[in-house]
Amino acid sequence: MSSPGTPDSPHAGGVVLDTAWDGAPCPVLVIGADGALVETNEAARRLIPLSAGDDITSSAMPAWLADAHRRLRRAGAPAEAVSGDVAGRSFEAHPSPCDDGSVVWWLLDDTDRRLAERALRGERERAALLAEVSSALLSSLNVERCMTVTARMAAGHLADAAIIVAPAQGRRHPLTYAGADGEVTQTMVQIDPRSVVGLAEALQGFPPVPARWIDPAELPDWAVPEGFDGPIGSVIVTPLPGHGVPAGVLILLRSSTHQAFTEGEEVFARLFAARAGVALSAARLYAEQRSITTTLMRELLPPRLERVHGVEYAGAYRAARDHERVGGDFYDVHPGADAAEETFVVLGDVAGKGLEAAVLTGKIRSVLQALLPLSGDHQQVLSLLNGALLNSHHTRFATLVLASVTRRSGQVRLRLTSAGHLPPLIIRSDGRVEEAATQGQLVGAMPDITARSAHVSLAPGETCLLYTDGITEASGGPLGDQFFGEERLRAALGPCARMPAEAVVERVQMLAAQWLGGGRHDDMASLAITNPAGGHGALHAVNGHHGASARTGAGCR
Amino acid sequence: MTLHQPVDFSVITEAADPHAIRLTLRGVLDYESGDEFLRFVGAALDAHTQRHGPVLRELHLNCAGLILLDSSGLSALLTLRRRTHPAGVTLRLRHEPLQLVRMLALTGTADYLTARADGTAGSVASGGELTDEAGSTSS
Repeated sequence: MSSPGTPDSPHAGGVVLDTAWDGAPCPVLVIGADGALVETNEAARRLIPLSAGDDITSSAMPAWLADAHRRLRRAGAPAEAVSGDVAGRSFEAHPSPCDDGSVVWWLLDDTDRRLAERALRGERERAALLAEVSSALLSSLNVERCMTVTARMAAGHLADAAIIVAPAQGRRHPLTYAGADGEVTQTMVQIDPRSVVGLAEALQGFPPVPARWIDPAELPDWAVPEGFDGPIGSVIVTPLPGHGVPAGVLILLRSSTHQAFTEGEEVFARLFAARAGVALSAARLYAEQRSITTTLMRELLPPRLERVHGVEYAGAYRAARDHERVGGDFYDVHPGADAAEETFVVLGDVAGKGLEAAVLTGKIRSVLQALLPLSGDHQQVLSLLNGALLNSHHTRFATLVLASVTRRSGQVRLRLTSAGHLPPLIIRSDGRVEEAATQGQLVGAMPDITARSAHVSLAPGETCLLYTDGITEASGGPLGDQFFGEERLRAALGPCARMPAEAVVERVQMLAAQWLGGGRHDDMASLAITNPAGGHGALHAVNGHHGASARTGAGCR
Repeated sequence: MTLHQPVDFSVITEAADPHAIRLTLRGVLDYESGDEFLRFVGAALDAHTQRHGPVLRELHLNCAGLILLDSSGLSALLTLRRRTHPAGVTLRLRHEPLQLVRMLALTGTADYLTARADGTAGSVASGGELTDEAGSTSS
């Protein structure tokens, strides 16, 4: 039996035409030196309807194979495999030149491999696109920007146009349109979600309906972006799943001149939507939190202080973490209705940090404001506050100092009561620093509390400083491990005699900040009550009469 | 039974008998370690009750190694007292560092924290006394 040869070792004995070719596992064409077909096997004949004697110029011969043969004849062996399509399938043709100038062409069907390769390439592109989606979206926590990017990418990679329907804000839905050209527009429109099949469900986070259920002809006008050419061929409506609630719905449109969405594309659209949904809902959550924080913060920010009834007030506050603006320290000044009435001052510190502590400071400030009519009796105010704060869940307590201030004939009279807080320091005009003799129990942890008030009188140029332990416990110094401490604070306050209130708190906060360096610290607050030096107080008392009554609660820094 | 904290805080059970538990606190009891401290002591109290029944009378906290106690740390002690006092367990603070003594004095919480839990008036003596009763009550 003669061997049909193999592509690697074509048999040398000239072309043997026998039925053995039919046994070859693939189509085989033997083309002679003259360009005429010498022999084909059964498989080849089924593929290319030519028989021995036909010329390769025949129209039935695939042009790419005829070209390859001619090139091989001109260039001589060895020759490389060529590939091309025959009858809708893809083949690789391996030539085996023979001594007599004829060439045996072995055609290997690689259609499936090519399909697999194309599928793999497609998957890689999709994976790359998903990665791109995630990185493009997660880099922004801005909802509008996220929607723009999502719509643009969807229109660019998945469809001819994309629309994002965001959850309703009131009666209207924010819509984001993107065309294939990358142009993105955003509007707020009142729409009926039931006007698009599957939209109302998708907005509630239910799984998408198959694209074939949606009749493109029934799409309402709002669902077709301006400038979308021609009739719509197919539509996908898929939810953008978020954290618990859908972040919106993605509508993809393809014009009728394009291929309809395949099932694979539909699945991919859902994957895309899942990534986009996560980013969008993260952005939306962030935006919500920020607006909540801003709203709450407005109430919690320390007020701006000023001169009231001839007495100077100045406060300064620095939160424990520099990116925060509120914390566990607080202060307020509630001016008396007129110069004869006491101005009520409070400075305090809530155990804990951050927003949680800030919320409690808000509660304390509200309770104290409500108790203003009783401010003549500090002990009673503290007892009532204590009762209001006692809570069975936790022992988050507060320490505070109350001060009731009046100005009589050039002297500022203070009634000071500490509730477990550092006693106020009095800066005398000669530079002496005294501690107010008040002591009491903290509020919010024990069923009954007591406190002892101190009466202090400030001559012109003298200041009473209320401060929180964030100042004295500022950890730093040369070795970074020492508290600023009460001694250093007192020493620093000596030269503050006859200074305006503003300057005293500035100096205190600045020295504590310097001591800290870059170290960690607690909330730091200080408030100065000053009897102005030089007797200008009387003049301002007249002015303060008007401005004071309105200024009680939250201000801005 | 050692609790390792990144902020360098630890509680160790030194000794326990049916009527008393002795804990040693070390490091910084603050905002970050307060919850861990309460979890640890809570677990110790639960385990003790399970083993001996509700017969515990005293919880001794040796504070000699306490570097710092901030307001959150004090809050943790007050929370602990809120649990132990109704259960008839008296808190006893031992070897308190100056900072703790001053803080308890300033906030007026010393007597309250260590008030006798059996209903008799007055409070248990506290303060940095150096003699320890460990020998007499632990076995």
